[in-house]
Amino acid sequence: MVAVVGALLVGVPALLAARPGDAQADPQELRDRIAASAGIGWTGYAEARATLGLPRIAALADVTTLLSGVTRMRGWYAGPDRARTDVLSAVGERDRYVTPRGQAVWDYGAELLTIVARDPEVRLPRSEDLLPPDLARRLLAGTAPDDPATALPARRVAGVDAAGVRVTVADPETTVDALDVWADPATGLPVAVEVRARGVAEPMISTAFGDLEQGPPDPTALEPRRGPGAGVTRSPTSDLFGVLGRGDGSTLPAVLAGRERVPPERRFPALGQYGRTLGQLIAVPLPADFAGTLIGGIDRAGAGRTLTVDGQGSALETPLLSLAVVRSEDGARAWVLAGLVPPAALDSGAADLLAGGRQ
Amino acid sequence: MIRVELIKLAGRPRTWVAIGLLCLLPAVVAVFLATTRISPPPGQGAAFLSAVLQSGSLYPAAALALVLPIFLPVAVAVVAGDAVAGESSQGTLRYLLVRPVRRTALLGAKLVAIVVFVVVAVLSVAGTSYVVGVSLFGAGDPVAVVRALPEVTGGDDAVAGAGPAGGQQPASAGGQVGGSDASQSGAQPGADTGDSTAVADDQAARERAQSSVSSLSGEALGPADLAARLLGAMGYVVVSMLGVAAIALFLSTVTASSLGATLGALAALITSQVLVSLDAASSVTPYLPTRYWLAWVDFFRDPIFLRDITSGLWLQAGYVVVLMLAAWANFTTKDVTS
Repeated sequence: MVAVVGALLVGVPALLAARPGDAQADPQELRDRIAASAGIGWTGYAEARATLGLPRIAALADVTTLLSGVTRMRGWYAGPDRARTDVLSAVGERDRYVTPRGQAVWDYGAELLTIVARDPEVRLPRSEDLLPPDLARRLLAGTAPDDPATALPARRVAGVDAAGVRVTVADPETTVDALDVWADPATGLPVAVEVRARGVAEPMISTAFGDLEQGPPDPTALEPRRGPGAGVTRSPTSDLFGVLGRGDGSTLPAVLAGRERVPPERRFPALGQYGRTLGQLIAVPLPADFAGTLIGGIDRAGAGRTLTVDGQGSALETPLLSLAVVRSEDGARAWVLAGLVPPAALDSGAADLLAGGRQ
Repeated sequence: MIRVELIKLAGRPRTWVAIGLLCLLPAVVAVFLATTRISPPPGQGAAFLSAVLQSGSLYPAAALALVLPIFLPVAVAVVAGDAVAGESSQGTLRYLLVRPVRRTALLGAKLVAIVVFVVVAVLSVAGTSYVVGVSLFGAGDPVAVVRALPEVTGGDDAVAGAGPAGGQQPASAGGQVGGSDASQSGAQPGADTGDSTAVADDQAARERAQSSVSSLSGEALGPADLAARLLGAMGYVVVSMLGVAAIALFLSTVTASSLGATLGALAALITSQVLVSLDAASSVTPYLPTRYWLAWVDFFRDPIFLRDITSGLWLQAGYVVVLMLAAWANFTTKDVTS
């Protein structure tokens, strides 16, 4: 009898959670609705699991840990310029508030509220990018309109009977094989996302809501707070690329690995964005000593590949994301190069950077 | 019968030794923190240990974080493991059951006694650590912090940290105790503000002291709010210990050795802890007894994050129901020979 009670207690919730959804939606229509869901407000909790297996590189620790582990997030979302995301840890949290005037980052561990003027469009990945709605919209925006969309079996996610769509990426210049998105068929709000890389059976990134309430969030939750006694600091940007991007962009060529440069954002002339699809490459000039630190970090981690270029280059490659640090022979010019691209694109991009900078 | 069990529990020296040791650990940590003022780096170490340097009223939370992973479960496992097996090994169980005592009622009384033990233990830890915290770190009142500092430390940048918030009276406070470094750094902000603003600043300081503790989300917590959250966290920790108690009590009905039951329960906990930290075991983690132990921290987020807390309560309830049923089935049908 005890065994029966035990089995019921374990089995019933598991069965309830695993029962399939019965939502149906036309895949193409669902894809369009997801793309147009940026105005849907919500409050919820999501967990993201990324298995890129990046080694920890000191200068990029935020990114490498984000993409190689589990991230727990609470979110309040009223719109693209009114939102709050808390990244939870066992001993504290780090909250980012997006307001129409800019952003504010509260770090409990450091007891510091940082008021951020502006981050560039092209920036390093951060936790809230892994929230299902943000990840789905951002990645789907990089797919081609004629990439085929097929229906996936419905899933129940955080109480939502969600219809699924798989967009298979045809572009051979990216490592992304397919994007699986489950969304509320009524509103188009994405509730779960899986990112699949070519040649890997399991999704590299999977994120899903655990709790979700649709509708405008409580406005008081969206007001940045500073703990009593905590410090406040102002920063023009909260992103490494935001700092580097203010530099001199004259060493960036117009074309990189066959991809044309997108006109740079105002005030960030040194952010090189090449292409607008998932296969885009990002190149940013680095100070020489910082490049040396990064190359050292990648080499020490033991997972890097040395590029065969007229200079020095180390690449960190995963089935999904690749990143390289390239330095000219004299050490005067250096760049970081990254993208969801295959190794060949990284090699040819590195060669173009070294050649372009010379001209 | 519950009264008998409670008297028995209270009469045992080991109960009080266990509770005393539980209270001692946070006190020792507090003394070290107060003398060195070296707190763990942000994001590392036990929860709230950095924050208590600013306000001792948060120290009960830090103390819970210190005793929760090992000390408290060990104490609970010792008491619960001894509940039935102890009687059995001493040879008193036989005589106990000869009296018109129903076995189910006996088991229920044992469980109640264990719950009372856990409640008393958690209350004692919180109570003593509040006293220790406030006397060593101050209750978040900047004046008290500055006063307390020179007694235990040379007071360097920590005083400067409290300075901008409490730059009102420290000139007199610092002078009063006459700590060498602290009196200087304490006097510094006082000199900035000047005497004319002292009255208004005094009022402001009191207001600030009223809400000088921050939630994890940066929201200022008033004393009532903080007390409510602490009570919630303590209640949750008590419930978290019920799973351990149920495992140990069940094993206690299986074996005649209380040591065996205690160690068995601890082995189960260690296994659970190992599996919780293992990504590969994620399919079973929601069912492990220690999975939601740390969720009490969520009481200090803003708004309070109830998801894991609720899951934790259900999980512990499940363990108690299943294991108490198993204990009951085992105990009521058992041949008691000793």
